[in-house]
Amino acid sequence: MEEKTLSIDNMNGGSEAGTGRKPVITVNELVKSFGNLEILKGIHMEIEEGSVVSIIGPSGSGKSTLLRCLNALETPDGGEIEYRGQKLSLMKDMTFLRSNVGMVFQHFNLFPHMNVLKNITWAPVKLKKISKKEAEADAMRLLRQVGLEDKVHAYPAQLSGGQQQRVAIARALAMKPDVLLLDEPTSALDPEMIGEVLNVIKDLAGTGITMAIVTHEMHFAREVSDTVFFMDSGVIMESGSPEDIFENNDNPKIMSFLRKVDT
Amino acid sequence: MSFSDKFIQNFVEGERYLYLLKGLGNTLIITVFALIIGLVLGFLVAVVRSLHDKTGSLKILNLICRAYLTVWRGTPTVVQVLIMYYVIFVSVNNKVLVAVIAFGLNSAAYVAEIVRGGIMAVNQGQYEAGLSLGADNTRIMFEIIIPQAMKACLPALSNESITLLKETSVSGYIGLMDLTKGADIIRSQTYEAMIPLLGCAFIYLVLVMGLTSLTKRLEERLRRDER
Repeated sequence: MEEKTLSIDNMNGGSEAGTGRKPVITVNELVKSFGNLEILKGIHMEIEEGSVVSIIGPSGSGKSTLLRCLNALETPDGGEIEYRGQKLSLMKDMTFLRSNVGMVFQHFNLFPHMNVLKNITWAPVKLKKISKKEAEADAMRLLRQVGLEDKVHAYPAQLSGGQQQRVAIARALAMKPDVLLLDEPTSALDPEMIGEVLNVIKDLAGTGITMAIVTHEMHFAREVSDTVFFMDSGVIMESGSPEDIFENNDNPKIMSFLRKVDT
Repeated sequence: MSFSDKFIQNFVEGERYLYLLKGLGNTLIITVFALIIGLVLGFLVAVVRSLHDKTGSLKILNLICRAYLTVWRGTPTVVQVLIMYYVIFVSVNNKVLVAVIAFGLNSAAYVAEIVRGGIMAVNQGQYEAGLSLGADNTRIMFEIIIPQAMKACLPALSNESITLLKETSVSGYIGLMDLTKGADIIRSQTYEAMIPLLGCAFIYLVLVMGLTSLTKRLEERLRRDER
């Protein structure tokens, strides 16, 4: 009994103070421009181990660019990103970082010339040198997790958008990533398919994996996140618990944004 | 003289059909091996050019490739064959070998641009998906991009192979007896132009039609993967 109470106290203390867990990713003074257009204007952010963070905000505020910087799909112009204490700017080769920081794309980007099984096993077999048998067993487990074990031999073109995105999540998970980045995972989906993908992500959030999600689904962000970052014009205007952002908030910009999307 | 008499005179008498047969053999040998050189070298050049465009690496190799493409696509095939035979491989007596190299290098220049176009047509998201899983540029190129690019550029490659087959007909310039030269030898012996030349044209046509149906079947097989 006593032990239980203690651990609950610890957890509460941890998430409230935000210092109980180790940061997996730290972002400092991050700056990124495309040509003359400054997209990120000095971002500070910390993603703690096992936490789920959402990045919300208006279109063009730099959410996706920020996320893409985290696994070096974009190269920052200034500032620093650290993954478990290692500076990205000092890494010669990004393959180690990327095999630990998985990504799910808005447009799925499944490999159309491979079937579902091959899409999922390709990276573990070729890059992690895991045996084909083991990788396939793993893939089957992941497909059950996303509810698509019957589509194992289908090709991406034979699947609906929602199914493709669930396969893409399984493909990213097959590398057993330390952190999973999701870049607007439901924005390219027909409305009736959004729920199935969000449910998979919600289940995932319960497994303790560290996740950063760029999303326009406010109810989802509120439900699933430990921390919400609100971005506007290249800066993080506010961050905090879902309650801080969605309820106890008097920032006019955030309130106006939430009113617009929450209809 | 009736048609059948002319036919016999041009192809049967003095076993003249052998000119066509030997010529056809040379034409096929040159086409097949030049095509192999063209595809392999063309692919490599396309990969170098595309990797350079995507990542900025391979600067010197890319420069060499660009110079090669400019020269080989900017000069006539006949001139290239003549230079190969009379200047570069002046001590080589094997005309078929010289022709294979000359046509192979020529074809590779066109294959390279076709494949590069196919590579560029593949969605950038495919490349990023590969990167996000931790793969390096070369592996992504060979295992993700090129298999998809192949599908996009197969019609153009099939076209290139047809062009190559027909272009080998200039081999006669270096005194090599290919199909065209064989027919021309018959013409010079019998003073009859129509029969040997039409016969030779007919053989090219059959070869091209065969090649077309072969690539069509290949395309269908590649497409079936995605349905």
